[in-house]
Amino acid sequence: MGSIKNNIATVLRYLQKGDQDTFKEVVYHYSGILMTVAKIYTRNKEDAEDVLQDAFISIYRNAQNFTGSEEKAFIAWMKKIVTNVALSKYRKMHYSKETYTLDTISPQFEEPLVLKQYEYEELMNAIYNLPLKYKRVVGLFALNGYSHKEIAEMLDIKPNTSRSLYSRATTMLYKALSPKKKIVLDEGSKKIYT
Amino acid sequence: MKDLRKYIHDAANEHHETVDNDALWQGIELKMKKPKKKRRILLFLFLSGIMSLIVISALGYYIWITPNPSQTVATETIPIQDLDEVGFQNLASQDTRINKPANSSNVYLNTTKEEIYPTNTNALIHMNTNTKTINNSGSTSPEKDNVKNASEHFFDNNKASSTATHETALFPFSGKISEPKKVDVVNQNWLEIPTLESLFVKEVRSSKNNVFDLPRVITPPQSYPDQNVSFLRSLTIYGQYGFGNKTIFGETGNAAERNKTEKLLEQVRIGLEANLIHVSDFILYGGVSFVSINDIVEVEESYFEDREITYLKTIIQTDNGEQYEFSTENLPHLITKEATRFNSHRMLSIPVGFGFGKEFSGIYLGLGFGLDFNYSFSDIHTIISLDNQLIDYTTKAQWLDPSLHTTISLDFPVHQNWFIHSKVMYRNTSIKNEVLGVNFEEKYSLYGIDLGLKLCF
Repeated sequence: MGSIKNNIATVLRYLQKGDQDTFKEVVYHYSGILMTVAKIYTRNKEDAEDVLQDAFISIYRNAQNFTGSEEKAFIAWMKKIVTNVALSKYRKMHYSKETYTLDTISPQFEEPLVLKQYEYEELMNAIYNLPLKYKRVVGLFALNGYSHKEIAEMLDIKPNTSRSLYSRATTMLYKALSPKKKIVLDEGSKKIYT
Repeated sequence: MKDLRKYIHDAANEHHETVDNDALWQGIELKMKKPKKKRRILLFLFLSGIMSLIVISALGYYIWITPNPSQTVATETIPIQDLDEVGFQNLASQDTRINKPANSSNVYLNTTKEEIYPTNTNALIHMNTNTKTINNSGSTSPEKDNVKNASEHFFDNNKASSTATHETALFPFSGKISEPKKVDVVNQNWLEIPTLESLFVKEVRSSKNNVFDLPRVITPPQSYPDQNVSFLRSLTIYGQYGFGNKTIFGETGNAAERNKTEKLLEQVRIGLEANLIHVSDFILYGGVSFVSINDIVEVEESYFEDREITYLKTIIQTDNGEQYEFSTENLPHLITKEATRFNSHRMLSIPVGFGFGKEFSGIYLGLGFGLDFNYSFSDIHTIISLDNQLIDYTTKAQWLDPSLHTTISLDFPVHQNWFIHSKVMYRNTSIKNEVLGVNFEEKYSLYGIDLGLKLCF
């Protein structure tokens, strides 16, 4: 783990030359963080693994297109590939298979969350458990930093739909997380939202 | 209060899932092997097709071009035993074929020169093993003296021999005289040929069944103006300028963006084309060409982008002491982009097809239909990415899916066998590539105008 981080330039050079051993090392090293992205954009773990395999192959074959030299940029580039592969997989997704619909989710939430009190793992699990069409928007908007206009183009939906999906997803996340912990904004402070 | 969006961003960056890396790697290895297999199959099919074409051509050449001697050759026979040696040699220098029936003491000389079809091929050479040569005494003699010895032996003994040496001289079509080639033949049905300064094909043959059975002779098409099938009738060198349009298919949003920014600029092609097989007015043609399909990428766009995470926080406190916090995120920024880039798909193309041609007042009109087998070379292209950034990516060196083409051509005679070749064509080409994990397909509809020089044989 540490060796890659300290020798990222060398690793990239070997990877760009098509060295299989380096590629294997990259797979073992970055699979965890990329699986997080894959699970956001897929329905289940099996699909996520499938996407991750395809994404790593794409990373290997397109390594010469990566021009950066820092690990942070390399990770961001790999995440983008995982995202693209996952989106391609579900391009013709049928929303009718989803069990959730917008109508069943209340858009209101009663109490603000102080999210810093949560563990990241709980939040990620809550995101994973969202229906695919919601968590895709959450991922593209919150994780990848795309605008709703860009998301709309990528998913072939309207920008307002993207905003609406994100809003509903946020509500669903609050609902999923709220029962587990009682949230208070700050000790002694007044309630902001009623 | 922490913004949920940023919180998710941080959580996803910090969170690492547990992955069975060995299983993941096995899956990757398995998937990486699959495309190679597919490519091998495609290569095998392609090579099989080429081989089949060659075999069919060879069979066609053998079956259709080779004349039937019984239909094309009239044979006159003269009992050769009535001739003296000088007379025989005079005749032999005019004619070339001597037949001797095995069951006859007479040797017959065919006197029709039409039997000998000038050719620059080795088709008249008959190879055999178990070589022996003969002389007067019947013992083995050096090959150098075969002809002479056999000639003497022929006139001295005038009897059939079980083994013989056979010399064949070739008479090339071009009029040049090739070097005589000696071929040793051992066959009970073959006799020695006494050639003199051979400029003609000479062979002696004895057959129990058919005295006048002539050896197989390859005939150039010119010898048979009414011959229906011929090979390699013309060779054309040409240049082509093409135009048309381009459509990109793939990931919905990005493909739409690329279609807005990318356009076909031109297609340039230079190549060689040959009419391989000519059957009546129908042609099977093939060739090779170098193609460059050039695109222009123009990005000139101003738009508001709210991708940057920006916070504007306002806290309002009411009279009763309650606080309200308003936060705005992602303040829009006006982004303007303006750029022009050029991309080229460079390919090696192998067009194969069939056509129909007809002459009208000395001008040849042709129609063609066929396939192109294209090999695209690797190149660096600039395109607009999913997040509206211009990025460079490397296109794969790959065999493309075969593309269709149709053509209409006009050939104008210039001088003797030379023609000015002009052609209009339509061709569709599809190029698939993967950019950052997204598969795109670039489909081209191309209209081209050819101009070239054609040599007919």
